[in-house]
Amino acid sequence: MWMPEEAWVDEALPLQVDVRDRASDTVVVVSGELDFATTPHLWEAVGPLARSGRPLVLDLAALSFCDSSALSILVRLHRTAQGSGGSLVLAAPQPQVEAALTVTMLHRLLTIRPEQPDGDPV
Amino acid sequence: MTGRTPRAQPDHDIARFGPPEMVRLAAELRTVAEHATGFADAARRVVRRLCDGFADEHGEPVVLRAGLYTVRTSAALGAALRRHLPDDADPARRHLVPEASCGTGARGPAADEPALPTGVVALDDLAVPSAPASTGPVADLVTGLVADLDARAAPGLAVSDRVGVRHVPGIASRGGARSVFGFGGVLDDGTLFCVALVVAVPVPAATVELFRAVAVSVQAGLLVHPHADGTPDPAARLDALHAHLRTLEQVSDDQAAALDTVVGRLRAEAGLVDTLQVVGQRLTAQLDLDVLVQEATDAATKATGAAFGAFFYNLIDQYGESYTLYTLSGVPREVFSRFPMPRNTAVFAPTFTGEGTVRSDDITRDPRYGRNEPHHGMPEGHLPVRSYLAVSVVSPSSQDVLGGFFFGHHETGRFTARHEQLAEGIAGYAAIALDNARLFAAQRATAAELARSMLPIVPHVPDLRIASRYLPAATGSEVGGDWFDVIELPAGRTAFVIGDVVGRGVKAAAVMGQIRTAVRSYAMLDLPPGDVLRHVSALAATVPGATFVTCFYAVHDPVDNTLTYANAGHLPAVLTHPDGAVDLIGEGLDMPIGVGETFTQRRASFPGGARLTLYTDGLVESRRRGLTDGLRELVAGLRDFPGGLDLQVACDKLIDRLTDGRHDDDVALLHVHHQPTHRRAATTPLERGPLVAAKARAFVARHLAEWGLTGVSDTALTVTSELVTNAVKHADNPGVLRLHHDGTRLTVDVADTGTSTPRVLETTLDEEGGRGLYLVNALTSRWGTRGTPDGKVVWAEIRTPAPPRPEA
Repeated sequence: MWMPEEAWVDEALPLQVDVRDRASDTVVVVSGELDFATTPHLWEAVGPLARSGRPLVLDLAALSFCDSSALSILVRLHRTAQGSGGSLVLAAPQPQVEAALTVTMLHRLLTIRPEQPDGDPV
Repeated sequence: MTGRTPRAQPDHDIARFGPPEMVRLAAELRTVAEHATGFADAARRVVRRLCDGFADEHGEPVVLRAGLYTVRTSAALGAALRRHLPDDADPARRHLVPEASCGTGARGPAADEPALPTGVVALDDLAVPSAPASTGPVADLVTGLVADLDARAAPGLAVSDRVGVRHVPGIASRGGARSVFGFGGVLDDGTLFCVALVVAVPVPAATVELFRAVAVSVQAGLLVHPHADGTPDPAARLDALHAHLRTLEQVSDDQAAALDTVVGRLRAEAGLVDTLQVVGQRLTAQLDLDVLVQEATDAATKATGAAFGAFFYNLIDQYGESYTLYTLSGVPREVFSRFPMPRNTAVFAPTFTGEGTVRSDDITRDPRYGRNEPHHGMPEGHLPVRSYLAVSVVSPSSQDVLGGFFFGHHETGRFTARHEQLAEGIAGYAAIALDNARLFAAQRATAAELARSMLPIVPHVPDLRIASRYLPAATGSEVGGDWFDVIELPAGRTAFVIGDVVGRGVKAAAVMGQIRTAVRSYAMLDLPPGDVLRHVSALAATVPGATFVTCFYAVHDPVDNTLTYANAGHLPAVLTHPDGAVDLIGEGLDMPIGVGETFTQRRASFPGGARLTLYTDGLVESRRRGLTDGLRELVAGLRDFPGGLDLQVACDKLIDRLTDGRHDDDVALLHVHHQPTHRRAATTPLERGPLVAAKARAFVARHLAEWGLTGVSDTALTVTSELVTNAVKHADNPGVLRLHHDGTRLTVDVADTGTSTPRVLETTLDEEGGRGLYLVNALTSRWGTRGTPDGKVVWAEIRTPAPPRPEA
């Protein structure tokens, strides 16, 4: 099933979110930096997907930074997805992001996979 | 009591009869005899003078009886006397003839009293103890005296030699007689005379000897008169007078010699007292133990004339164990260094146990010598010792044996009683001085230990070279109330504290300890200097005894290279600028701790190369110099502060220069030299807007890359982001971001105008928010917040790998 690519780009803000639907899940490629200024945009873009109940994979390979406000949104996305019968997987976080997750013990709550999701849409 | 003839001059006390009394008595007796009307009268006057001339200390007469006799043959007796003799008398038989006596009439002799022969008695009868004529001690005296005089009656002998004295001491009778003595002489025709005295006090033999001269004078006096039928022989009389004169000259010579001896002895005594006094004064004023024991050993060795002397003394170490040290005098230390400490051998034991002095003319002949293994005497190679003197040094306070003096000489018989006396005297002073020195050292050590325990461990602060010195007052043992402190504050800042609790002793030290802790506590809260002093001042008002405390408190901030300080009544600090110019800072800012309520805060630039000097009044104030002059000298000293020297050495030289090496008061000095090497800092203002955190991260990332600290980038960026986010969220003005690296620690701090204090919130795992400071707390070695005049600073420290060492 093909869904139109939803892209959100703001030249001023260092964040880009790309959503690609695949056969069994939806892959969201998050690139740039997540902080108090950019995180609301992530919620805006991904929140509805989480509510859809489809399994959700966040490809974090191009996310160079994430702060505590981003962690909050990740927890919210996780809870939303679960509440809707779906799931959330964080894929290929970079060291800074992984450290933020580990230090806050969120790696116990969230599903984290080291490998990047296959980029080909199904 | 019947009346007695008034005594002519009862001034002679026979117990104290000396040469001067003898001379006077001899002259009196000669005069009374010469002026008599005849021989019998002369004899009467002589015995009367003898009876009346002596009294004891209470004025009681001591000569109980005196009699003067001549010895004559039967043929020489006058017709009247011869009537008493049996007809068949041998004309050559000799008789004792009483010429005069006195004393018997006044108080009759008790039954056991030595009586004087009262009638003419044949000498051979007198010599037989069982004969009725024998009169006990007096008879013994007279027969002995006559035998002596017979030996001296030979013609050709000088008149002065023709006299004799005799003594029967140790008489005891109910009547009070204690001794019998007498003297006699040969008259011109060979006739003997003798005088016997019964005396109520013991008469020393030396006194009896003095009567030899009296005998000569009586002989001269009697020679004036024909004693029997003959006529006086003028030649014999002249001879006797010459003899009398010679005797007197001899006596006065003897007297002069005796006087010399006495004067010499007195001088020696005075010398001994002088020596002891000088040594005593020196020793008891000496509190330095090493100097004291050496001086004592030198003094005693010199005073005893020993070839060498040693002083072994016991000390107690810090663990309470006793150990022995020694000093030597008169011999180099190498001579004894290979011998072990003397053991408790038979010779040494009395000294080490304090039993008493050992003095020997030849110790090698002493029965105690050579009885101990393994040396049996002196070890091989020991200096030869024959004369030996050893004296214990006993503590007057504890009676413990503190040590012993040992003196030796290779010749025998070198040490006299006087040397022993001197050595004992010096040992006595040494004991007092050792006691004093031990007590003083113990007290001083306690005080110094107390003061030292109050001193901080000066931390190593990157780029700051810190030297400190605390010197207790050179005089007195009481600890002072000076203190200094160096406190590492967050974000690479350092607090420097110097203070002075007025007063001395344990009380001042106790107050100092409390105030020092209070300053340290408020400092750790990272309060601004003015607030630290304000809180401490309020606290001090509740500390008894903290009535006058001064304190200078300064904080160095390496990010902007400033010094922020406040001063509670302390002396100004000295700030040396990198160009060498010197300023006094903080002079007269505020009142002392416990008095002042608010404390002004000032700021000065403290760039690389600058120096800060904090000190207490002991450095600049003294009895010799006022405060103004002292400050001027300090400024001059810091202007020429040697840069090339080790900082601690340079500080010690500065203290020496200001105190001339002796300080009346405690001196505390804290000197800080700013020498930037690893320090890096960067500051950027934060602008409101959605990109503030991103820009801040970019700023940090760029500088960390520049500084070669990319290894901590991730952590630093997370921390920066969180701190900036907080500032933006909670304050109208996000303020300033500062980055500082001191070589081992990276500090990120964000100043804002908000007043809320950030706290780490407890969050459960699936809660969304509240992880900001949790992250900061988890990722940094420490973080915190401190108030500023217009808001607060939140800071966090991240450990960084040690910088690579520069190639040597």
